[in-house]
Amino acid sequence: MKRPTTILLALLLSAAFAQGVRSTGMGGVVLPGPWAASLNPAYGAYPADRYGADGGMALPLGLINLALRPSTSPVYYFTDPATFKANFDLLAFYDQLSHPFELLVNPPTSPDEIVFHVSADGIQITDGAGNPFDLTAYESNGGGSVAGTTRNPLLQFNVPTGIPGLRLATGVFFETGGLGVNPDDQLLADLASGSLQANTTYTLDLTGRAAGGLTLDLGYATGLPPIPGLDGTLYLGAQVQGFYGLYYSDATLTASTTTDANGVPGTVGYTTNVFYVYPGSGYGAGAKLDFGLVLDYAGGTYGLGLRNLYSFETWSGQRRITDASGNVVNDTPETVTRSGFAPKVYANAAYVQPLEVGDVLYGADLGYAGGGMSAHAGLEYRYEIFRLRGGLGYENGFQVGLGAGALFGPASLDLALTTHSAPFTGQTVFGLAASLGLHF
Amino acid sequence: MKRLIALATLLVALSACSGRTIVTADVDVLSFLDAVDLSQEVTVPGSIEVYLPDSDDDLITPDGGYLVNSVPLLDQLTGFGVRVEIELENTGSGTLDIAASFRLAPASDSANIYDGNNDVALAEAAASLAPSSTQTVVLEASLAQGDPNLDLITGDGFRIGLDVRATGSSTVRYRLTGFALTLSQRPFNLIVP
Repeated sequence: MKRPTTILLALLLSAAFAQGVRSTGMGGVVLPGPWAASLNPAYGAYPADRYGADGGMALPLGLINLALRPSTSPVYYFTDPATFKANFDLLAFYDQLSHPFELLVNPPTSPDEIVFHVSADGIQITDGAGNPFDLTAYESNGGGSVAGTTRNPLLQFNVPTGIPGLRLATGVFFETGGLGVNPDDQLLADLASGSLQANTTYTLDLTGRAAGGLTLDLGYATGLPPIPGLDGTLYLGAQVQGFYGLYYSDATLTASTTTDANGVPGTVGYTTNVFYVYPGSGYGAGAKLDFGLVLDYAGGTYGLGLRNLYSFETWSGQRRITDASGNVVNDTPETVTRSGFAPKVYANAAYVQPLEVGDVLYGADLGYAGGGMSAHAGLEYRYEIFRLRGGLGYENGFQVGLGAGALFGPASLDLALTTHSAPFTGQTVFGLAASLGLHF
Repeated sequence: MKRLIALATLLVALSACSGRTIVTADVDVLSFLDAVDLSQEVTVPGSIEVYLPDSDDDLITPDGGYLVNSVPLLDQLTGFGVRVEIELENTGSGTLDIAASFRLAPASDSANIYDGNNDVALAEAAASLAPSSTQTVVLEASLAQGDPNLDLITGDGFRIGLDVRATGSSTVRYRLTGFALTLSQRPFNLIVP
C-alpha cells in the first residue's frame, strides 16, 4: 500500500496549474521548463531544474472568501440571510469564483449608487458622483478560450510513462467567458443622448459561456544531437492535446424594441438562445496538434511554440430558442463543429545573471492568438533558499505580480501578490496566492 | 420613453446585483408640465383655491393631478422625496395670505387627489404677501422605507399635485421654479426578498 500511496501523493503534489504561483509572482511570465509543455511541446524534454522548479500545488485560497467573506459568500444566504442581503455582491462573487486559487484582497464591487435623471428631454444615467455611467465597461470581451480549441486545465496530472521525452497528462478543465452586457452601438449612443431614432430596432444582449470536461495530452520531445555550427542545444517537440467535454453552455438573452415613425419605442421583447451540453444530453470532443522548438544558446533559453496547427472540435448538444412571448420555437439536437488552422504563437525566453550575492533570473514571454496579444516580463532574485519576484504583464488588461518563495529541502513554499482587472467595472483587484511543492 | 427606461433599467439592474447598491431616479417634473401650468396670473376675489398641474383645463376644480408612471423605479421603494419651489408675486394692491400643499395619491385616484380620500398632503407651507412683494414658497418632504404612504406608489405609478389657496383681494402671479421627485430603490431587494 505504501508505494501506491507515495505515487498518488507525488502525482498530487506535482500537479501543474495553468498559472503557477511562481509565475504569478513574476507578472504571469511562464519560464522555460516542463511545466510549459502545454504551450510549447519541446519543453517536454527540457531539464526541470534549469531555472528552478515551478512552485507546486496551488492552494485554493479563494475558498476562504467563498465561505466566509460576506460580499462573496453565498453561504450566508442559508446561515444569515440578513448579512447576505446587506453585503452580498454578485460581481465580487463571480470574480472570486473565476480566481479560485487567489484570495482576493479587494473583490470588485458593484456601484454603490446609480442615478437615473429623468426629464422630458430623455434619460441620463450617472454614478453617485454625477459621472456618466460607462455602458461600454459592461460589454463582453469575447470570452477568451471557451469557444476556442485550447482547453487550459484547471488541474492537470502528469502520468509517468517511463519513456524519456514521452509526456502523458490528464486534467480537468472548467472555463467561463464571454460574460457581458452588449447594447448595440445605436442604443449605446442614444442612451447617452437620451433620444431614440425613428423606425429603429435596438437590441441588448446578455451573453455568457461555460465549458467543462477532461483533457488528455500526449506529446513527445527530445533534445537533438549537437549540430555543426550551432553553439547550443536544440529541442524539438510535438503533441496532441485532446479533450472530452462534459458540460457546455453558450447562452444569449436578447432584449429588443423597435421605434415607430415618431421614435416612440414599442414593446420590449426578450428572446433566449441557448446551446447546452450536459452528461446524458450530449458531449464534446476535440484535438489539436502543436509543435515547438527550444534553443539553449549563450546562457539563455529561447522557445517558440506553434499551437493549433490543426484543430478539430465538436459539441453535440441541444439548441433551445424562445421567442419574445416566451414560447419555445426551437428545442432540437444540434452539433457544432469547428476545425482548421487557427494558430496560436507563444514565445518565451529566460536568462540568469550571476551577481556577487545570489543571481537574478530574467524571463519574458509573448503570445498571439486570434488577434489578441499577451505579454509578460518578470525577474526573480535568488539567494540560497530564498526567492524574491516581481513582474508586469498584459492579458485582458494589465497585471502586476510580486512574490516570494523559499525552499526547504525537497519542499517549497511560494507566495504571490497579483492584480487583475475586474469584469464589468475594470477595477484593479489584488489577489494573494500560495503554493506548496514537493520535488523528488 | 417608458420602454427606453425599461430597457435601461434592465441594463443597470444586471450590473447592480449588490445588497448595497441604491438606484435613484431624479425626476424633473417641471420639464413634463405644460407652459400654462408653470406660470399664470390669478385674480383673488376674497379667496381662491387652484390646483396644479391642471389636468381638467379648469384651474379651480380639483382633479387627478399629474400621473407619474414613466419612472424606472416604482416597486418596493426604499425612499421618496419631493421638493417644489413656487415663486409668488403679489401684483395687486391688497395683502394676500397663501397656503400651499403637496399631495400624493395612488394612480387609481384619478378623480380627485385633494379630497383626503386615498390621498395625503405630504408637505405644507404658507406665506403672507404684501402688495408688490415676491416670495418663494418651498414644499419639501421625504418618505423612508416602512412609511405606509410609500404604498401609494405602485407599479402603475402615482399621482401628484399642488393645492394653492389664496385669501385676500388682489392679484397674484405664481411661477413654478422647481419641481423634483426622488425615488430610491435597492434592486437587490427584488432578487432577494
